[in-house]
Amino acid sequence: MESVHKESLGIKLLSISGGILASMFFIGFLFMTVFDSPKVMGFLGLFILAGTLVVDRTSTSRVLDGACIGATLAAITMIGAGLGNTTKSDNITTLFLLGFAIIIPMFSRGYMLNLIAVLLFNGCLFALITINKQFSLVHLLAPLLAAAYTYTSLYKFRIWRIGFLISFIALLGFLGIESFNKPGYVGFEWLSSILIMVVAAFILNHIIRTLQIESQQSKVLIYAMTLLLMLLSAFAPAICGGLLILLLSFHTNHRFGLIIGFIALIYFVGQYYYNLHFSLLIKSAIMVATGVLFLTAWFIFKNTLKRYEQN
Amino acid sequence: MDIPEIKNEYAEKALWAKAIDWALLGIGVTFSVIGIIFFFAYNWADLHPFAKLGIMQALIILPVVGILIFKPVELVRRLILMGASLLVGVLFATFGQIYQTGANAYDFFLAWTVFIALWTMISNFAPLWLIFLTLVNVTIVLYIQQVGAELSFTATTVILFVVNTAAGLLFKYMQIRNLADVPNWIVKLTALAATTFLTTALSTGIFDHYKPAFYVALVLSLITYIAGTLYAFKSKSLYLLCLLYLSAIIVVASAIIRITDGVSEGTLLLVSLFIILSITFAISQLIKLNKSWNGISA
Repeated sequence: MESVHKESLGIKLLSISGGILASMFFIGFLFMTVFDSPKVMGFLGLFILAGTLVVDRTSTSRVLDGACIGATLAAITMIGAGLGNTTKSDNITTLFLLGFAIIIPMFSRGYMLNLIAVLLFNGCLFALITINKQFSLVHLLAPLLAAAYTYTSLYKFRIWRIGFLISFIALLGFLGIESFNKPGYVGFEWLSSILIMVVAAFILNHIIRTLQIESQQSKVLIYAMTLLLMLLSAFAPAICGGLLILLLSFHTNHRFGLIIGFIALIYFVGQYYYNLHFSLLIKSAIMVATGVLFLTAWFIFKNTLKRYEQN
Repeated sequence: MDIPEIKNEYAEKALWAKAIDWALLGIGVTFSVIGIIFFFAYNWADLHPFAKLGIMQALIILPVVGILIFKPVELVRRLILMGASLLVGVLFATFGQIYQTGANAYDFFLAWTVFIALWTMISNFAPLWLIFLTLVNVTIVLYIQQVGAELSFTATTVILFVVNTAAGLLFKYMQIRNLADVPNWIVKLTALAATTFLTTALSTGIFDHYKPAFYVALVLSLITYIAGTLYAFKSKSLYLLCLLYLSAIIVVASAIIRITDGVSEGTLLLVSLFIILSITFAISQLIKLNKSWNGISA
């Protein structure tokens, strides 16, 4: 059964890569043909998008999956380019695209179209922040994405989970960029971290309820240890976010989230230490101290953990 | 208020305990080791060359000797061997840094490849084989660029295709004959690498005014597509069929652009229509195959 599942992955990859390849050339053709007429480009994009949604809703054929993906990407590009050239306003263009990102999931049952819609939605939110130079709002967007990822992992709309995961990681990567010194952004990293910790506390509560942990002492220990770990990286929201992803992915047995979260966390930790303005000697001391702390914790909890492993 | 839940499989207590156990130990060891490395890095400039080389050599020799003496479990042995293989490269880099030999990058990678060949052969560990194969590829490219005869990009990719195909066939042979623990992922990865190089060779050869290397690539591609397709049908491998088909589509698309002599509206439309139609046809056939082989409609 596993090999069957993996074999059909080849078909999925073929349809996705074929769809993207075809759409790249088709977008090129459309741009060369209608580039001088932004209104025509916009309406053509709208028409293609509407047609794609109809096909996606009415057809169950896997054969059309790749074409639908490519057509949707082409349509969104054309609508964006058309609106941009017509309205000359980035805000209006982004708001329209945001609207389309909301409309697509209402009509589409397809996994890939929903993924594109979620990525477009989050991308538009980020674009609105940067266009209007309200960079402090990035520190609200990150916990919002964390909350959305948590909700779609634990409750409803599982189809959007990976979209929110990818968006969240992308935003965390952005939060880790040291050279981004825009007003309202620098100095408020703790805000992202604190709000992400609130979401993490909610996940911990879910884990405790699922595992049916009754002991008050155990509950306090779990909250204290996890949130203390996150508090240590209060000025590195990327690390807090990475820990949240690992926590949630492990809890829900989501292998893709676990792998991508693990790689992302290693990168964010490395980036954090690289950006620290200390000498190698001080960084060495910090790392050895951290290592000793974790080894001490391992030593203290070793027996307790072995007991649970054997149960 | 309880929000309605989707029925899920959640990790159990035993799994959490194991994960936390490994995480605390792993993070503790990793941070401590990296901290020590940083300490040496801080003092690196002041260390005597013998001390620098001595440290690197000790990091290689001691763990390998440790394997022989303490005989840890299989996975630990393989990981130590892989770590030692990576450190051989670091040792040679350190040597080059200290003595400023002026050697080419080719010399560095060649030495690294040669010196870990024996460990790679005895390791029975796919990740180390992958590292070795990567080093072989890099050595070949650097040889062509820095030392050897001036070969075109097409010729280089043909050579890389041959090397990776040979590696893939070797892995498959070892898997079939049970000569080693060969996981499927490494066979698929080398097949992907070989196909990528073949596709690149053909596509660039088409635009590179059909140099002799292109004709070699053409002959090799015909053999590969035919043999690959026959083997894919024999072993019921949809993955291989998808790979070969995608490769063929990309090459034909490149040929269309070349024949129509450049990028115009007509060319772009023609190529996009060709890709859509061929992918649609391919998927419909592959779904039928999947159904007949596995009883699933993909």
